[in-house]
Amino acid sequence: MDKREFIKKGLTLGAGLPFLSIILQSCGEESLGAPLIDTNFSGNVIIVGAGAAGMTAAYLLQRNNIPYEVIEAAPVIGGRVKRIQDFADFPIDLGAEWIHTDPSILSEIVNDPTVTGDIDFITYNPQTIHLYKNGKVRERNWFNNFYSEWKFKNTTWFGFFERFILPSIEDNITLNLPVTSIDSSGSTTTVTTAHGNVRQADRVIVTVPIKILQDEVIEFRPALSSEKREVINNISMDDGLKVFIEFKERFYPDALLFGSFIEALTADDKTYYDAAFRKGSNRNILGLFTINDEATRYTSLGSDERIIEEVINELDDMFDGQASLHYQNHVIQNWSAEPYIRGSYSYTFSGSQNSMVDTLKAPINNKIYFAGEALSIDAQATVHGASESAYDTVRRMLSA
Amino acid sequence: MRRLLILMMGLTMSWSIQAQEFDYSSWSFSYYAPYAIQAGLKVGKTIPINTWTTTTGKEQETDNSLLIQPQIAYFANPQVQQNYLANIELGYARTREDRKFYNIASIGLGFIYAQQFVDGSVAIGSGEVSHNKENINYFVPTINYEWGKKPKNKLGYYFKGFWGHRITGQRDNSGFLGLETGLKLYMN
Ligand SMILES: Cc1cc2nc3c(=O)[nH]c(=O)nc-3n(C[C@H](O)[C@H](O)[C@H](O)COP(=O)(O)OP(=O)(O)OC[C@H]3O[C@@H](n4cnc5c(N)ncnc54)[C@H](O)[C@@H]3O)c2cc1C
Repeated sequence: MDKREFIKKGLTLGAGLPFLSIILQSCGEESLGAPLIDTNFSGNVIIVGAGAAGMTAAYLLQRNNIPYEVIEAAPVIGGRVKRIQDFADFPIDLGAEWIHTDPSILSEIVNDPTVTGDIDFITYNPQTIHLYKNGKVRERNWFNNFYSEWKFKNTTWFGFFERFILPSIEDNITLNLPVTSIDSSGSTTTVTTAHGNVRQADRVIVTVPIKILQDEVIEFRPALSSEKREVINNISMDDGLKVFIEFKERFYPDALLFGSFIEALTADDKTYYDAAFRKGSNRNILGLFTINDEATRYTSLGSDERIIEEVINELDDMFDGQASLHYQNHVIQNWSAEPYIRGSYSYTFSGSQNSMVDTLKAPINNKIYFAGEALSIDAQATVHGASESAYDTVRRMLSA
Repeated sequence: MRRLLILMMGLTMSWSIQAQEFDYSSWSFSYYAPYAIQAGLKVGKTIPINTWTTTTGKEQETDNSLLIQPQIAYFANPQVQQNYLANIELGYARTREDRKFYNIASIGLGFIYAQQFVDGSVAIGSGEVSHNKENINYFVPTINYEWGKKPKNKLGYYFKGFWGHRITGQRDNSGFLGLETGLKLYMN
């Protein structure tokens, strides 16, 4: 990864380098391009995975009147976009939660001026910020000048897709059907699933997480080229975990960061935060977001019971026993334990990100295409990045 | 804070060599950057209220001045906060004749009227985004240190650092610090 890519990546990861992310957001309005594409293509398409990228790809094919089917391994749509409705008096994002760019991106994804309806968002600019370092919690509220993003106010990323994207595509989604192999050696492509179901398609768009490709959950026939395999194996996607805890009393700041000022500005691997911030709720819901090695500290404990015990102990140490005193309820989302996700999101690219993404994006025999968050250069590791990659892939596929 | 002021005055003393009365009366126009990243503009006036000359060790004369500096400023964190500041500083300035620069240590008291972006909505069809803002009032006591170039004609420049606190009854308080750099248009 060269310096330019590193800076860009820092901006993309949003929570990391928040100082820069402020600058990015103030000037960064992405354009995903036109949804209707001039095409001679008249075949059918199978989309593997119903996460943000898979759903956006389906939505675009629907709008272009191309026959398609989405095959999803999990019993639910959404992938790393997931919500829980009954934990608090507002819906909670168990996966993606922040809108890491200008909220107008939501309109860009839908890209249809005839659609009516608004989405309310909050300016996520935590006011009370504490820093935990060397066994001490210190007030650092002035950090709030260096970080601001957006979040949904009374819906979630899942709710957004459910309301604006899903209605037009849901009849074409099949759940609980893990794809095991994709064979493009014949004139059409054969997609086989775990239950021995076989489907034929003229084009296949693969949107599974990079970790699923690394673990070779799907067998490609002919095998993926050595260049593609090398790229896949050189993108890191490590552990990811979110925990939400309800307390009787509030004892925590809007955001609790770790390390020094610089560490807090540049690290993006662990934050405790008030999940009810500006949500108009009276409930005391504390969130823990953690990825990479910090997440492994918890996920390696092996069970949700041990994870919550560890989290409460840690909070007790930082806040003089208040966590166990006021604890009421919790929910844990261990992304590493999701059989068809297996981690958080693509993180470091060992090599030039641009050329690695180009290698991965290159279609196989003009039949198999790839999309997903890892393939977005401008917004890697985000939901809107996954959607942007779907726009790009569908455009390339239909224009080929 | 007292110790810091004394330290700053000490610093300014050690830089001076010889003096002739220097008139600080001026208008300042500056780029004002709280937290180093917020972008803003500040206009101020420097009004000397007392000036006297002292002689130090090797019979070197030093100009000393007491100044007041009223200022107004606007600064913003795009899509997060817009701020309007009225501020007044009481400063102690020193310079020597053979030096091209002056130093001012000051204490300030300001009032910030801030508009904080709290939430909003986006129209999915058109992409139009609207924001709701909340008004917050802060008092900001600061200490300031300015280092400036004396003018050849009427125009000088300066750099300034400030450190203080934003105090409000509406929210938790927080630190207030940053940098300022600009031009001074001297009146005499
Ligand atoms: C803890 C966490 C926090 C995050 N926070 C944010 C945030 O605040 N803001 C933000 O913008 N982004 C965030 N992200 C990133 C964001 O969630 C992802 O970038 C985005 O959702 C990825 O979408 P995708 O379609 O590329 O992949 P996915 O959502 O993973 O979709 C891939 C789909 O493929 C399916 N699949 C896998 N294997 C198979 C198979 N063999 N057969 C069929 N289907 C299969 C999976 O079940 C899944 O549904 C976060 C992610 C995590 C894990």
